[in-house]
Amino acid sequence: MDKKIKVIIDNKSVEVAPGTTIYQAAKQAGVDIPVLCYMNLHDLGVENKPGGCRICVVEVEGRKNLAPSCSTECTEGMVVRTHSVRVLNARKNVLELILSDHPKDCLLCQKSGRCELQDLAVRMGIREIHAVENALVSTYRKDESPSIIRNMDKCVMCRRCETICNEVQTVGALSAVNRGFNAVVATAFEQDLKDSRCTFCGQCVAVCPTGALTEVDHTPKIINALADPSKTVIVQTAPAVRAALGEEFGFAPGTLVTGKMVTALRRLGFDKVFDTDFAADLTIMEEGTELLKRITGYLNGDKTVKLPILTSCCPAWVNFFEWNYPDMLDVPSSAKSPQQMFGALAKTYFAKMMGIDRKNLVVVSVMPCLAKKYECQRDEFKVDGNPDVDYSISTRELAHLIKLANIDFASLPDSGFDDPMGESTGASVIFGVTGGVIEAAVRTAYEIYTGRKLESVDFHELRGFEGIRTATIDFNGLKLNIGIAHKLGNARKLLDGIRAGMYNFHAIEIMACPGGCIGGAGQPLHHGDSSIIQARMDAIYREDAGKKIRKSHENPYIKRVYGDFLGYPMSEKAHELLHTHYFKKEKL
Amino acid sequence: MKHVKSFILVCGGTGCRASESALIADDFRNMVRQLAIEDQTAVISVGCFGFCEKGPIVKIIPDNTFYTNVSRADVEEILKEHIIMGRPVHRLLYENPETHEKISDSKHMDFYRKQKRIALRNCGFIDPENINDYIARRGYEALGTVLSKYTPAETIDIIKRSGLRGRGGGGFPTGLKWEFASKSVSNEKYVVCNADEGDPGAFMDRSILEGDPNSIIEAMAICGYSIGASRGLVYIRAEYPLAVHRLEVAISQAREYGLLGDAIFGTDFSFDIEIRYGAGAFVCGEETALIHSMEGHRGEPTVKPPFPAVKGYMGKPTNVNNVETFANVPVIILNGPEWFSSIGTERSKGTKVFALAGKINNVGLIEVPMGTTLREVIYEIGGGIKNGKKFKAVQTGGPSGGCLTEEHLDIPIDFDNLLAAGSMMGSGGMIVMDEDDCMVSVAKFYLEFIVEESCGKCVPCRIGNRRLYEMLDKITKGKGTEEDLEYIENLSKVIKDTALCGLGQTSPNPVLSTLEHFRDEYLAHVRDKTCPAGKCRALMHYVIDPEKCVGCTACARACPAEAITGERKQKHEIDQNKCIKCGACYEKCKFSAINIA
Amino acid sequence: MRKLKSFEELLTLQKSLAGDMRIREMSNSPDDHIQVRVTFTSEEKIAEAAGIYREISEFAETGNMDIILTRYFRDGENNEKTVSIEVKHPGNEWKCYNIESADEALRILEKGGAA
Repeated sequence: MDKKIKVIIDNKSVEVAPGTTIYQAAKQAGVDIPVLCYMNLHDLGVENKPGGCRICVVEVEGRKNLAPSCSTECTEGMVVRTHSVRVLNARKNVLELILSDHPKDCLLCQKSGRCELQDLAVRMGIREIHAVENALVSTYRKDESPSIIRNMDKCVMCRRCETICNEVQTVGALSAVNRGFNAVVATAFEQDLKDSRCTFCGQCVAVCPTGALTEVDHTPKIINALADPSKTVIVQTAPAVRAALGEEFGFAPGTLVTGKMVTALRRLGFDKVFDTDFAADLTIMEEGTELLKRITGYLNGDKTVKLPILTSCCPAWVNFFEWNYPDMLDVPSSAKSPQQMFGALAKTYFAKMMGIDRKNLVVVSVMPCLAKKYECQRDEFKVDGNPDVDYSISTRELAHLIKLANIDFASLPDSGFDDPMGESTGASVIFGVTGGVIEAAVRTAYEIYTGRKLESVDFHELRGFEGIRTATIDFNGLKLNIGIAHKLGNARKLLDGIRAGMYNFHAIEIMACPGGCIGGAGQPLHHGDSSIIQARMDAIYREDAGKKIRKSHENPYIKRVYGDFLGYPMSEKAHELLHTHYFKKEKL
Repeated sequence: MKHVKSFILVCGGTGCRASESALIADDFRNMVRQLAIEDQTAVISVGCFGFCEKGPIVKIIPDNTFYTNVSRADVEEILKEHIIMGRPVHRLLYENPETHEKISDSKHMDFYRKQKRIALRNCGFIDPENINDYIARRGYEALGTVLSKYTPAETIDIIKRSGLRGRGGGGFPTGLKWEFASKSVSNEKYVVCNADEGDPGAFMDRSILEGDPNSIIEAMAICGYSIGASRGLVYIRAEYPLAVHRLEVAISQAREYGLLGDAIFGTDFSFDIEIRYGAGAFVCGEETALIHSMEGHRGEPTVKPPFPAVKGYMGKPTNVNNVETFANVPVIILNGPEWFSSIGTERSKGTKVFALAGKINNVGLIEVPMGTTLREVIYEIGGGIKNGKKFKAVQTGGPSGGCLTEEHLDIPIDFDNLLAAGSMMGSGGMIVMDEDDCMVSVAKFYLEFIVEESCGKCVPCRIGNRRLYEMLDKITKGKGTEEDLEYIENLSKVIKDTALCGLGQTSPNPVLSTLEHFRDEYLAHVRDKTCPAGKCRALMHYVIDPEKCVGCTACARACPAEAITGERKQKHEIDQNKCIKCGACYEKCKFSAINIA
Repeated sequence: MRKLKSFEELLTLQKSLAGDMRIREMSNSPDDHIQVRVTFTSEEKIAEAAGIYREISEFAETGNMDIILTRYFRDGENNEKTVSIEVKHPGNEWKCYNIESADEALRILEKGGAA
C-alpha cells in the first residue's frame, strides 16, 4: 500500500491515499464542497468529472489559479481553503453566470424541488444575477420522444448525460455540439431523439441535475382513465418500484413499501392492483423453457441452434441490440418482457375472465424505467391499434399521483395484490436487480432439467455490482456458463466478444441500467449517491428471502394460467401471446 | 549538373502566391529557357521572405538584389536587364520611406537589419519541395549527429541547456517537457507537432512549414529518439493547403531517403510521421484539446494533470511542441546549446518570430533575438506607424494577450517581461494600434473572437466571456456605468482564476490590460458618453460649425434621416435626435464645416 | 533517390549538393568571400563580357574556387568601350583591372586567387 498523503483543508489535517481528489479528501475532513457537474456512483463504476462547472473550485496554497477540487489530486503537504473570500467570490460569480443563462421559471419546472442547480442557488444565497439588460439566454428547440423530453434551455453543460450515454452505455446518442456560448448537448445533426440511436434507457434523465432532461408525463392520462366509468383500469407494478417508492415519501432508501403501495394504488381507484412479478414468473417459464430447449438442441448437435441465449426483459437493451447487432437478432430470447407478457395476458385471459372488451380495459404499468414508455407503444404490442399496455408511468410519477390524490402514504396500512395476476415468487422479485433474471431462470431450469430439488436457491455467485460477471453452474454434470452484464457498455463488450467467437456462454443476462432496474431511470433520483442503489438491492434480496415460494414454476397461479389458458410453456398460444420478434433498426 | 551561377529566388509563400508569385516563377523559368541562359541561371520557388507588405518578392543571388511588388510584367525586364545586362531594375527596389533612398541588398533594409533568423533560417532561401536543398544546408545532420553521438538523455540535456522554451504560447522549457515524456514508461509514445495556428493574423507556423518543412520532420525525429517514440503526428489546420502539400512532399522525400521509416541511418531507431487535419478551432491549439481532436473526439481541453507526457494521444505518453519550437531544435544540436543560449535574455533564449500587423508600415513576418525592445520592432523593423499617426498600443500574444502602451516600448521582449507587463508572448502575434483605435472596441473585438472560439466546456469561458462582451458592448453604446467597470474587472479576474484551460484563463487579458492602461478611455465612455478615438458610432455627434457653414445644402440633401435643416445660404443645423450617425454629411461637406464631437 | 544507409552516406550526399548551396550561402556574407565583377560600359560589349563571365565561372568551377561572380553594367561612367574585372578580397578594397581577353582575366584571378 502506498504511503498516505497529508493535506490540510480548512485548517483540518487529513491523511488520504494517493490519488484522492481534494473533493474526496475534504469529505474526510468533514468539509462538503459544493459540486454541480461532478457525479460519482463509485460502486457502479460511473463517474463524471469534466471539470467544467467550476463550482467546486478551491484555493490551493502556492497555486496561481483556483483548482477544481473534483478533479485535482492531493499532493503531500497541500494546503487548501474552500471558503476564502477569493473562493466565495469566484464560486458565487460562476454560479451567477450559470443562472444568467438559465430560464427563471423554477416554479413551473418539473425538476423544481429536486433540482441540483436550484439547491446550489439556495445554498449560495444568490439574490440577484448581474448581467446586462437583455443578456443573451440560450434557447433551443424542445424535443419530445416517447420517453424523454429534452429542454436544452435548461442544460448547464455538466455533461453527465453525455458521459452516461457515451462512456457508460456506449449508445452515443448525445454529445456536446457547437462552440462557445452556443455549446450544448445534442443529438447528431440535432435530430429528434426518437430518430437518433437513443435506446430510451433514460439514464441521462436519471443523472441530469436540472430540468433539461425529464420523462414524458403520463399521469394526466391515467387520472382521466380512472375517472372514466366506461373503463376498467388495472395496474401492474414492477419489482424494483416497491424498493424505491418509499424514498419519495421520506422513507430511508431500501425500505420496502409493497403493502402501502398496493393500498395507495387501490385508493387511487385502480380496479385491480396486480403485480408485474406474476408476469416475471411467466417469463421464467417461457424463457427458461426456451433456454433448456436451445441447450438440449445444441448438445444434440442441432446446427441451427444459437447459443448463448440472451435475456430480453429490458426494453432499452432490446433497442440497443436492434440498433447495434442487427446480425444477431436471433440470439436473444424471443420471450416478451414481463410488462408486455402481463399486458398480453390482461387483455386476453383477464379480459375474457371479466367479460370485458379489451378496448374498455386500460392497463397501466408502474415501472422503474423510462424505456417501458417506448416499449408499450411498439406496434407489435398492439392489437388493432389497441396496446396491450396502455400507459407506463415511472416510480416518480406514481409518487406524484399519490401526492395529487392527497394520500398520506406514510400512514397507509398494508394490503395485498389482487388475484389472479398478483401472486408472485421470490424469483420474480429479484428481476429488479442485475443478475436476478438469470438467477430466477436457473432456479427453475435446474429443477426442470435435473428433476431434482435445489438445496439452496441463493446463487451468490450471480449477485453483485461488478459490471460483467461470469459463473458456471453445475446442472448435475452439465456445466452451464453464465454471463451477466449491466450497463449497456458492458453489454457491448460481451456482444462483441460473442460476435468474435471469444466466449462459450450458454446464457447471458443483460440489464441496461446501473445495478439493474433498481437503478432505473424512472426511480427516485439518486443525485449521485450509489449507496441508495445498494440499499434498494439489499431490499430486493430481503423481499426474495421472505417469500414462501421462491421458484417461478411453483407459483400456483402460473400453473393455473397454463392449465386454464396457455397449455404449456412455448405452446402455440404462448408463442402468440408471450413471444415476440426483433427488428433491425436502420442506422443514420 | 552544370554549376549554376545566378539564382532567381521567387517567394512561394501563401501571401505572395495570392499575388501570382507561382505564375511569376513559371514565367521566369519559361523565359530563362527562351533566352538560353539556363546554364547560368536557376529559378527557385522558396518560402516566405517575411516582408509580405511588399510582396511578391523576388531575390537575385549572388548579388542579393531584393525586388519588391514584382508582377508578371516585370519578369522579362529583370531577366534581360539584370541577369544579362547587369543593370538592376531600379524601380523595383525597396525605397526607404524616410530617406527615399533605393536599397538593393535586403541586408541593408531596416526591416531585415535587426532580424536574426534561426527558425526562419531556410525560409526564402531553399526550395521547400526539394529535400536536397535542405540536406545541402546541413539538413538531417543534427539527426545523424544525435543518433550516432548522443544518448536520448544527452540529447535532452542539450535541449535543456540551450534554454529553449515553447514558442506556442506558454513558454514551458522544451527540454524539461521532453524529459517528462522520456521518463514515462510505455510501449508506445508519440511526438506531436502542433501546427494548429489559430491566432488571428499569426502565420509563423504556416511560413515555416511552407518554407522549411524538413526542419520540422528532422526535429520531430530527434524528439522521438529522445523520448522513445517511433510515431509522430502533425496536427495541422486544413485551411493551410500549401503547408500541408509541402509537408506531404517533404515526408515522402524523407521516406525515400530513409530519413523516416525503419532503422534510420542503419541504427535501431525507427520513426515515421502522419498528418492529422484540424478544422481550425482556436482551442485546438491547447494541447489536451488538440489530442482529443486527433483521437476523433470533440476538441476541448481536459483538466491537467494528467499531462500529455503521462497520458496523451490514445492514453499514451505524448510530447506536444509547436512548429516554431521544433524549427529551433536541429540548429541547437548543430551549433550547440551554448551558442543558442548566448542569444536572448536571462530566461528567454534564442529568437522569436512575430507576425507584425495593424497600423504599421512594414507588415510581415520577422524574427528577432529575445530582448529586442518593442520600440525596435515597431519603429525600426516595422518602419513606424502608418500615415504618420501616433502610436497608441501594441497587442501581443494573440486574442488572449494584452495591450501594451508607450511606457512599455522599451522593455526587452521576452516571456517573463511581457507577462509582467500584463500581456504575454503567445504565439507571436503583434498588432499595432494608433490614435484612431478605440481601446474599448479593441477589447470587445478580442472578446468577440474568444466568445466564438471558446469550446464551451467550462462556465467562466462559455458564459463569462459572453457576459463580458455584452458589458463592453453596452459601454460602446454609451449605456455603461462606472459600476459596470467594477463588475467587468471582478468578472475578468474570476474568469482568469477559474477557467479550465489556458485559453480561458487568459481570455480576459485584453479587457484587463486595456482597463489598466486606458482607464480614462473607459471612463470617457461611461461618464462623458464619448469615444475619444471617435470609433464608437453610438457615441459620436456630428455638429455643424456655424463659422464654416456656407449653406450649400449638400449635407441636408445627403442626410438619409432628414436630420439636417437650414435654408439655402443660411447656417445649417443637425437634429441630434434624428441623426443616425451615418457620416454621410461629413463625407459630403466641402467646407470642413462638419465636426465629430 | 536511394536510401541513406548510414550517417556517413548523408554527409557524402551533403557534400555533393553543397556547391549549389554554396553560392546562396556566400551571398549572405559577400564580404567574407572573393567577389568578382565583370563590368562593362557599353552595350556593344555585352557579348564579350558574357563570354568572359562564362570562362571565369568555368575556371572557378574546375579550380574549386569560391567566388561570388556577378556582371555589372557601369552605365555612362566611362566613355571607353572596355570590359574590366573588379576583384575584392575579404578585408580589402575593390581593385579594377582593364582586360583585353578572358585569358588575361583568368591570369589576374590566378594571381589574385593565390594572393
